[in-house]
Amino acid sequence: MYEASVESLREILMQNCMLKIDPSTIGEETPLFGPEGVGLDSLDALQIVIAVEKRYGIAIGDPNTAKDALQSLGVLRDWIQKRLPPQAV
Amino acid sequence: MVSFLTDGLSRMISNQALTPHGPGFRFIDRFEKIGPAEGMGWKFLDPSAGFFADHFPGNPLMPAVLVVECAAQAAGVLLMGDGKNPTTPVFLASIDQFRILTPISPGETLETRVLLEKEFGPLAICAIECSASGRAVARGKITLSREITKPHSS
Repeated sequence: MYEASVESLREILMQNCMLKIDPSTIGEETPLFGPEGVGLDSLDALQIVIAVEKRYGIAIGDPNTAKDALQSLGVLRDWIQKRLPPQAV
Repeated sequence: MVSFLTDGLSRMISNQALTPHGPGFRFIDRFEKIGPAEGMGWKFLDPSAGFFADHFPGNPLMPAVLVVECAAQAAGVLLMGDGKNPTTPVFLASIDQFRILTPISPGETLETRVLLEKEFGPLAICAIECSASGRAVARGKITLSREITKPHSS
């Protein structure tokens, strides 16, 4: 199982979204949507939803959940980590 | 999943207006639902269609962009409920992957198999497989939207 980190989620953005800004400028708290942030649209959101499901096995089931989970890379990381199965010690 | 895709019956539709397009831009002649979220569309490629004269002179081939249009219209018919409500359009939002495998000639019938893979809010991703005369001619994925996305300022 992959670990959710801001870096790995930034990679998902780079691979699946049409970014209009330099990915290295996307910080943990940069809003993913809206003109003040990364400026993603609903198609980008759908691609992220599919990529998260594929990589982490966690479904973001509906647009309202996506709105909550995809606020920023930090929020998405925390959202995924809460749902990942506990690691064997 | 929308209700009209759940009746489970394969149904043949022969309708001159399966989509909201005018007669000059209809790229599905016939559509059959073959599963709860799956359908097949047919388009006869009339050799007298104007675009064949120029694409290309002396060597007519089906333009690849119109193969994508066939795919989008077949997916649209599936989403719009087998043409029950062709006045409520859906829109092509994204060509996510699409590969043209072999040329398609006038006089062939393009068969487009469309599978609804995922619905998410107003968006729907469909997997497409196109064939003609028994050979695979194109495949890919497209996303349709039930809403028109506002243009973004750059």
